[in-house]
Amino acid sequence: MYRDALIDGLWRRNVASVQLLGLCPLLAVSYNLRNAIGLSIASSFVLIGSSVAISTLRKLIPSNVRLPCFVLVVATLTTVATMYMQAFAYDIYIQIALFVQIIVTNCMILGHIESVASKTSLGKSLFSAIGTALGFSCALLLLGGIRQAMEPFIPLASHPAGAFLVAGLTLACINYVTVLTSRSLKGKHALTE
Amino acid sequence: MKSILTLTLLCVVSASVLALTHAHTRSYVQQNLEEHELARLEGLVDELDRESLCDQGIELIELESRGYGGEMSVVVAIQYGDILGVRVVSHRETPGFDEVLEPDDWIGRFGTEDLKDFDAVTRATVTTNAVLRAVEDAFHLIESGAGECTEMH
Repeated sequence: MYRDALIDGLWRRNVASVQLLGLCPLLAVSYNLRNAIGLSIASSFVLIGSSVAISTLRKLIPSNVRLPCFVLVVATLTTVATMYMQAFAYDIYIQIALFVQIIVTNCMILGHIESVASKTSLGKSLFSAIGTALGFSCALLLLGGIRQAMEPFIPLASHPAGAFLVAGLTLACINYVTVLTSRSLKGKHALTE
Repeated sequence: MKSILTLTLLCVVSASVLALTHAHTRSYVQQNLEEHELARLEGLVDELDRESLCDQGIELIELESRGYGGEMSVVVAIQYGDILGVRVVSHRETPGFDEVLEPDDWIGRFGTEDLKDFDAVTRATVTTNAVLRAVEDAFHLIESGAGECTEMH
């Protein structure tokens, strides 16, 4: 079950490549690896922290005020992350502060809380959050790495327009691999049957 | 009733978490800000000791000017009525559009080029105009005798 949650978050239901959520910070920040690492740590912290908090409190939160409660928890953790970044990673803070602050409105996090954390047990939602966070971080690092590596040859890659191109092509590649693997799996099933 | 109670409690908890974090990080943040401001001033004048600057006739004038994202703090160095250089030590301009404020960009041209040649920069019009306004104000301040050195002598 826990293994499934991790694989779901990393690959089968990856927020960036399959659900296409949280793309705003993904595209805006991923022009080099350092910023990508900074944002993935901040996002993972907020996602995992808020999932644990909401999952623990899920029976105490009345359903009619659940959204204000979720946003309050997410906003608090985001501000904490911003403050720590401002204190201990000031160089990165200057570059990506704006996008760390808007983690609050990241639909990936609110979506995860609403659909998983507020409905399932602590352990399960913790693992699901870790999987989702890893999936998002991988996507960020992949894009950041590709764009940083391409920049000396194709300067466009580090610009906003390049972000859309690189992200689109990367998604196409990932989907191609997904289709191929699912086809070969089906083929094997057909043989064994 | 239950919802009011839950929300109030949650607010109290999150406010305390924020207060604790703020208390923990405040001194580090302050230190970072000061270091960053000092780093931004580098290359403007040799040293920042006000008294020895005044002996060389250099006035460092700090002004607030309204940019696109809010107040920015501008430092103008003027030596005997001539401009030595301009730096912005803190600002809230949009990331990516603030590169004109980096010492090796547009703002670094102050002191090496004639002031009459300075125009606002397309795409950062409000930002650059705010700096130009601050420079103008600095000269007005000097003319009206409000500079620090004139007070000291």
